[in-house]
Amino acid sequence: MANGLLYEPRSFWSIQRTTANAPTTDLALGQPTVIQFNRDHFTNGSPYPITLTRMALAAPNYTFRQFGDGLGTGLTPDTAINFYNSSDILNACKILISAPQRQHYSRHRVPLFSFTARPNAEPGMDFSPDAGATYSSGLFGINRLAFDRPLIMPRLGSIEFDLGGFQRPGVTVVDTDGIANVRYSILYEQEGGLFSGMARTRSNQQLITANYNTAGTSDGETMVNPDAIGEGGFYYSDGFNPQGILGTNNAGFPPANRMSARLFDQQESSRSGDNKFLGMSVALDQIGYDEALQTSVTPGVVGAPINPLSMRIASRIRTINGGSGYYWWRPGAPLALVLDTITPALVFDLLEPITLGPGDTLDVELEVPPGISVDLEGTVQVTPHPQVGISFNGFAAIEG
Amino acid sequence: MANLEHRDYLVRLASKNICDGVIEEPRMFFDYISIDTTSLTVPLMPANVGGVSVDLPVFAGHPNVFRNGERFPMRITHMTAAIRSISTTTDTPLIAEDILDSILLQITGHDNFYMARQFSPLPLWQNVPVAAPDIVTKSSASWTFARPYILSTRDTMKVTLYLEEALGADLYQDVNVTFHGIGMVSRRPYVLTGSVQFSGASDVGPTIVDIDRYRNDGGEPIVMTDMCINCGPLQGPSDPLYVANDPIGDIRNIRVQVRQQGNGTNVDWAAGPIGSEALAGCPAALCGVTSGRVLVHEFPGDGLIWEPGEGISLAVQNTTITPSSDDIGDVLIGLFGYIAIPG
Repeated sequence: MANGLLYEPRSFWSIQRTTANAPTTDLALGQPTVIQFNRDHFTNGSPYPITLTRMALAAPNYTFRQFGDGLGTGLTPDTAINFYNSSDILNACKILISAPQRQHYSRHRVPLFSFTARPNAEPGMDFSPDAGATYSSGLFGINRLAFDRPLIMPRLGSIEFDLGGFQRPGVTVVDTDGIANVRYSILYEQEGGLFSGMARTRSNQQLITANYNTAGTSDGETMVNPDAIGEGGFYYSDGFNPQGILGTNNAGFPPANRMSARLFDQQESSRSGDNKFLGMSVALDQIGYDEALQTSVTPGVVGAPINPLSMRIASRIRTINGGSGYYWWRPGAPLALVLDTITPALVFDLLEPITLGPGDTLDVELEVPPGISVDLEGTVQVTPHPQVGISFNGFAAIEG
Repeated sequence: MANLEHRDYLVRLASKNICDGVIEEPRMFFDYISIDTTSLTVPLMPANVGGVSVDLPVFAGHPNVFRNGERFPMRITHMTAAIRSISTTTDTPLIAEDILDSILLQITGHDNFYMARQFSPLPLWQNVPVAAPDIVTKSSASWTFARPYILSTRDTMKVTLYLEEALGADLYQDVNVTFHGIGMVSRRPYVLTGSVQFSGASDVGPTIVDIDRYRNDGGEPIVMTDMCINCGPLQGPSDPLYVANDPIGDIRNIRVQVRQQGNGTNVDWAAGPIGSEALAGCPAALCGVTSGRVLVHEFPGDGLIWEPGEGISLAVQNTTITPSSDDIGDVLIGLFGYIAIPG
């Protein structure tokens, strides 16, 4: 604080979904598709300089992590849409990052997995005592962000955090454990107290979801494909926004999914002086969701690893009564892209931080592979529709 | 921070100025707390579960488990948590491991709450990513000590191993415990490793690893920095499918007790429950402070500083409203740090 600056986390993020060029029977002739992310999504529209220290990549909003049962049994896709019908599509894409007129991060587009991944995942979940459900989404369901710099808030300052809903992909929840719904918990880590640390939390709240079937195009219990690949099964084909997430219900961030400033203030309410926050976490308890999905999804593969819901759930956050009051990121960012200290996303520490002054922007290009033939005879052709999300995360320096 | 401390230590080591007059030795505390929600003998506490207000039982740990019962101060740096999933001969745990998502935890010390007055879901406590690839994580637990300890010349380690659940007839399994260190004078690396083999349907230990494997027979003290426990795969001539199907052991089936013999305190490192079922040896999965299949929480600041007699108590809630057979079991909690003894 000696320099008179306040620091707040910041993130620029975007999601692109595209259609690959039509497949060809001659793979050598297949041409990749190149698209550019929306530049506005990486423009610093605030009056403060923003320093970016990390990059996160994810293929959001897919139901499964990978096609198959995760046991390496080499299943042949039943239908064309099952191929690349999961977030491992990330393996097939390339990316180019550039600060216009200043520096290319690389001269050529590089495979996404060519970046040195920071070890930031939670342990995998590779068994379940329930027959047919050999995988679930993860062991802890945790997303965490350790702030680059401590967030100093005045005595009456608050933080307001919202989670979006998500579309349950046609799951008719029959949950023997009595956990029919996804539950969320939020925690802010704060310095001070007898233990040198403490927290403000909101625990075990039901995450409001929108049932896919209520959106009007599904035929009741029979789901259409929930993934980005499915024909007509993905409403928000361009972009990832809270309105789209909730389908016909445009309440992007339901009040029930909020840790409000009021709840925030009720805790540690007798504390005096400034508050120093060091990080925040969101836990998503999706045990019931996983179990229901494993037993009810028609086009999926029983036992296929399920994506953590942090890849599907949007978020927004801002300070109130202190700090800048700006949203830390464009509302709607998938949790996995912005809470990146522990996350299922691929996180890469930028070799040198990028500082964007007011009005500065980044260029990001995405290359997706051409369509390919997948079955043993080479007769089924697939046109993948990769959906890739990217975020640049860091902090804003705000004159106090 | 641990790495920086280690680096600082090595810098001082290089300048031959390590004699701060304090001996440090790792310590681990562990307890298991039942989360059997069918029990009615526990107090109820209002909680909010998925938007529904319900009274949930509070399961308290024994207040004397996480307590410094020795004569010197301790510093606790990390907490770990896991579900006590017992492996059987079929390598299938009895309860679902992800039930951890539904467990809430509260720590109390000197009538202060940590992290908050409210019970907080265990996943929210994880602030250190520790997962290695699945094939490693499932079978191994590694701990880089917050402060290294000194294995003097002619000292050795007594490592005692236990199985949670016996293997099947004709089956056997190797368990390895390895310590890593650096020579105090030569600065050469030392890797001291030993293993035991459990076999048959009744062998659950205790089995002591041959102490010669850890003996410092060299001419210099060793600065010991890491401990790694690895559980080998189930093997057996009568049923080779065990190996073919899953050539990865399950660290959750192992418990371990460690003691330095020679210099140091000559006291067992692990202190466990003193209640209904006294567990001999710390569940090895909890030792994955640096890398393992366990939830790890690093305490902020200097961690918990315990004078002799000081400690904390724990309580958990199981928010699974309608328990099924999957949801009844034990939560394992471990605290890891070191004791500091004036030399």
